[in-house]
Amino acid sequence: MSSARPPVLVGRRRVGLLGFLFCAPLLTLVLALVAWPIINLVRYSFTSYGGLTAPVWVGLKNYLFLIKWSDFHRILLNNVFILGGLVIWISVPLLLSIVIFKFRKADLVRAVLFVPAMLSPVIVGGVFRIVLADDGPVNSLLRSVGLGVLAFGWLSDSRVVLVTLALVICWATMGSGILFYTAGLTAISPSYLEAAELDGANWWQMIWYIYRPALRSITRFWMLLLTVTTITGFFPWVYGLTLGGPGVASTTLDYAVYITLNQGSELGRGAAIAAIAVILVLAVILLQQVARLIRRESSWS
Amino acid sequence: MRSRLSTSLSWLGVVVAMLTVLGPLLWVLRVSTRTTSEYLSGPSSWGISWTLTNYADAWTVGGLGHALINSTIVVIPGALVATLLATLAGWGLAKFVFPGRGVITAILLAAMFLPIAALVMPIFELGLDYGVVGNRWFLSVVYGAIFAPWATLFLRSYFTNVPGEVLEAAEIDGAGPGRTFTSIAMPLALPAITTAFILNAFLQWNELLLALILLPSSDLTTVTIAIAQFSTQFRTGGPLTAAGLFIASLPIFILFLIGQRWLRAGALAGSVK
Repeated sequence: MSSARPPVLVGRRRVGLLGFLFCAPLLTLVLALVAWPIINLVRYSFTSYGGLTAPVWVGLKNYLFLIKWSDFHRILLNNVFILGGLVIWISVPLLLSIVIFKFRKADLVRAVLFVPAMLSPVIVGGVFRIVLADDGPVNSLLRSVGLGVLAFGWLSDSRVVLVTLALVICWATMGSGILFYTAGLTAISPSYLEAAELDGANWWQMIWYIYRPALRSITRFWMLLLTVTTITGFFPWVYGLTLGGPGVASTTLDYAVYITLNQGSELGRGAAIAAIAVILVLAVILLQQVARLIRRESSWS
Repeated sequence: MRSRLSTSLSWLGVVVAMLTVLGPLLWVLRVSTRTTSEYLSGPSSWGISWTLTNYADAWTVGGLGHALINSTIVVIPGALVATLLATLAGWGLAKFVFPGRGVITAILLAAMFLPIAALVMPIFELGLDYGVVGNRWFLSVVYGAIFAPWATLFLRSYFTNVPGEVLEAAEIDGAGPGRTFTSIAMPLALPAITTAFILNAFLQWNELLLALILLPSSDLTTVTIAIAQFSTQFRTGGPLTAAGLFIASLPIFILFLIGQRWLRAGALAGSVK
């Protein structure tokens, strides 16, 4: 037995700088490679910078340029539109997990639906570039069953390309979503469901009044995961599937940042676009928080 | 009546979902076994030719062997750095009270939600300043920093559940804080740590934007870059691209297969507690 001095405990947690030492390596790296770059990003966004000569302070010029640039309006709208995909990225796995839960071969079905979740976005993009080509199998199938009107230029028609992108992301993410929702379903007490069924609740009422609220914490977690993995970076999806085209019809903010970086002459403008992307993500998170607060308020009253 | 209708509707939904998932994958698998000329004569037909040469060609034309090595060299250290730092910090945040704890948590949360597009340009400039753009280890360190925050918060919630009595017992037996961490905390949290490592490797393997900008040389392309450029440049080479897609997805399938046991244990331990 060595001279173990009694530790100072606050609710079983130790007080002292030791905890800080455990965090110090991570903190150093995050400050150097995340926090410092973000500060620099904001600084670059107020400059004119071509990469070769030192940045020149130009105030709000980059932002004012973006406000007037019609392509940028489209890019910003694209981002907002794809965010609307959240509705299907959440509801499809929610509904499918409920339906599959009662199946006898549920494990097998879930395993099959999980396969796309193991593919990287660029591979998913490659698959659908082949399948959704103008003269590809999907369109020829639609034409052969007399649904030729639905044989869109999935990746080449500027009116449908964003819908295609949102659906492809749904295809690739629903397997993981089903996994999490299934974990949530096992925690719902069967007597709760039976009571609702005895009261004569129909399918939709069951979904809306029983499953949806019971799975709310899973939905919140799944939304968080989608926010971190997808909403903060549409880039690999866009790069793999459409390269931002046709024109700028499927260009997102992060893809636009990549283009400006690749051209290399308007880096200050690229920084301003990236800063706006940050603001958009913050707005999404803020909206989620506000929605939660409103729900809590209304449940009290 | 109502229940029979809803039962058949739910059957229909699941069948449609299965077909939507399997259809494209099987189609691309089929395309990968057709000769290019025969494919081009009818890209939307099932075709008659059968060949495996596309796989060999995709391997050489796409430089996939080289790209696989590059990805591994970047991702293994990157995931190790992220997981190690996350384990340390997760333990510190879960079991100690110290000034600045709230601030650190807030910084990690904010870092987790930052788009990579916001970081890529300033990190590129930083890399230029230190002459490390084009170095694979620089990309590893950047990945280590960017993908550590979520893992830290994940492991913190896991460590919070480690009962205080276990730690007190260790301390009474004379274990210092370092010893407690290595011989109590880490073994206890091994499933969660492995889960964090596997998911980190997955995310880093799939990352595209930073890899494109920080590894501009074509000798250093990762698999993700190689396959993205493959399918966008060789637009006419359907079968070649298709074969490349399957080769490139194999490592991740193997990772999930090996990690399955751990992933399940990690998730189970997390949900039971």
